[in-house]
Amino acid sequence: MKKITLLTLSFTLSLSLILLTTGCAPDAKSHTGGAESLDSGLPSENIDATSILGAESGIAQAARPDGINPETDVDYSILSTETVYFNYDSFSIRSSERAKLEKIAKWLTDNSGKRLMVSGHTDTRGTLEYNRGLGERRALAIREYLVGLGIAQDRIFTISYGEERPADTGDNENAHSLNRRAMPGVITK
Amino acid sequence: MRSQYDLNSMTKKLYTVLFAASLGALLSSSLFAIEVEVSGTKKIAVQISAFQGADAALAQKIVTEDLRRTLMIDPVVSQGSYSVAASVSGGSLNGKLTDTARGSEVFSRTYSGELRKMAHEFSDDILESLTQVKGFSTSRVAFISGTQGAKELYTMDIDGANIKRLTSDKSISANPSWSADGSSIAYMSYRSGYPDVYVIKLAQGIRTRVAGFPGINSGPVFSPDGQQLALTLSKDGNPEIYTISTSGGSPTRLTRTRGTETSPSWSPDGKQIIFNSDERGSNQLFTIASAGGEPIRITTPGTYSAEPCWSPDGSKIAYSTRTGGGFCVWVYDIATRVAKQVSPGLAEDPSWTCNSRHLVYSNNGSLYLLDTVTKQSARLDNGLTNCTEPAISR
Repeated sequence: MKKITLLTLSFTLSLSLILLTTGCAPDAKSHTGGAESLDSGLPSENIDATSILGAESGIAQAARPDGINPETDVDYSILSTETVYFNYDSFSIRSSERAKLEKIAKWLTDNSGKRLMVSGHTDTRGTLEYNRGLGERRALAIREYLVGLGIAQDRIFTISYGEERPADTGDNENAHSLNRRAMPGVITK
Repeated sequence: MRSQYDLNSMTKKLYTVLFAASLGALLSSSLFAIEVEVSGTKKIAVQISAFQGADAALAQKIVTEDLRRTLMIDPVVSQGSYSVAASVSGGSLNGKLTDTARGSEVFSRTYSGELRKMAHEFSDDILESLTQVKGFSTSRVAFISGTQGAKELYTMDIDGANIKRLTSDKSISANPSWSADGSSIAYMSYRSGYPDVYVIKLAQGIRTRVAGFPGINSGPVFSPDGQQLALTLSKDGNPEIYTISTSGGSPTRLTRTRGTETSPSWSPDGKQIIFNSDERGSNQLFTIASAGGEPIRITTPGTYSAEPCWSPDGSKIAYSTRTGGGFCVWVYDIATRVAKQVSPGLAEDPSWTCNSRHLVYSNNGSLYLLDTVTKQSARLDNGLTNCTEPAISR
């Protein structure tokens, strides 16, 4: 009778355990779904390390500025050249866009009485509701970045228009890329 | 000899039993096949006789179009399996459905009230009588129409009649939803300059702002008991799902993720809310207990599932899934966990009718009625352009 060493035994046991626990995940091609728990501790692929919002960040949502109507009291022409553009389904700030934020911060420093209303926008390819949320996160990302550059929180406000205020109504990739933006508006009052 | 006789007798009995069983199987399978065909794409031919009385022509037109719109009935001029007749006078309509093959009456009923309402009720009774499927012809559809400059909130009868524009905000309106009793509509509007949630009490014509927190207030949907709204708020940073009393006040937060959650829909028993979240990369469906708890993923095929709508019978979720060119509407069956496409092509914003079989959706600026069993659709014409986000009353 062959002696079974401890090593062999433990190897066999481990192998069995591995085989037992790597079961069949639902085949993505089949249309049968299932239920699984959302572990909110798992990092999401969408998270940009420089822009984590919500309870985890120190930056709360800005209260609305008193007596300001975003429709009539914001001038988007003054800083229009510093409109920040985003990648598809993303609210992270591309490194190529950071120079614009430096310029916006400098302008705010040079114009100490002025406040910004940053509007967030998307292309049309998500749902209406989700795009409103994505536009919001783009505007908040700008705000967070500017606060990181030293601008006081109470000088920057945000609003999202989702896909509802496109810069380009075309249905092509160029139009889509022009719509994925956050616009720094100057509050005129 | 004796055993042979027994064998023959037994064999005969065996063959008889086998034959009977096969015949039975054949018969029942063919009966099943016939049943499948009827509930498949084959429509029931129903002959519409000339209605009698004042406003008869209008009533006849309404009933004919209602039946056609169900996508289960083919209104014909002659030789239908069934025939419909009615006489209209003053505030009453006497309607009758006859089985033409048997020559027997299926039902005859008197309706009272306004002409269109009577005709729609008659249509619903005809559908239910013939198919056991509850009709939706008396339902109203809330929707958004307009272009960027001014998207306003409208309601209309399902046949495009009685169009009412409810807002003149000259702003962006979105997300209409009905209370279960049809008395109120919640929606989102930028009329204040910001995206806020309002509730309109239709009979009184009163509109109240229910949520105007910092950030986004959107996607309001009434709980089945009409006491609360589930909605999307970003007042605490990123868009999450909350509930709030329909009279406003302090909201209760339900989700707490680093992702974006939007588009809630209630289960018909009010105990759960389904929504989409991109917490795992791109939008997928999750449910959460309305009293609070951990979100649970509902696994659907594809890389992007959103805009869920829970069927009134609780058994299914209609939702949009993103394809290359746009969105299609799929239905997920909760018991079997199987999802399948139900829209014939591009479609979004699904909203179930009262029968959990038909739903309305929008595509390319038009609204459509869909039979999710046969995947046939009918456009809802209303003379307006750029129509989106239909919500049908139940």
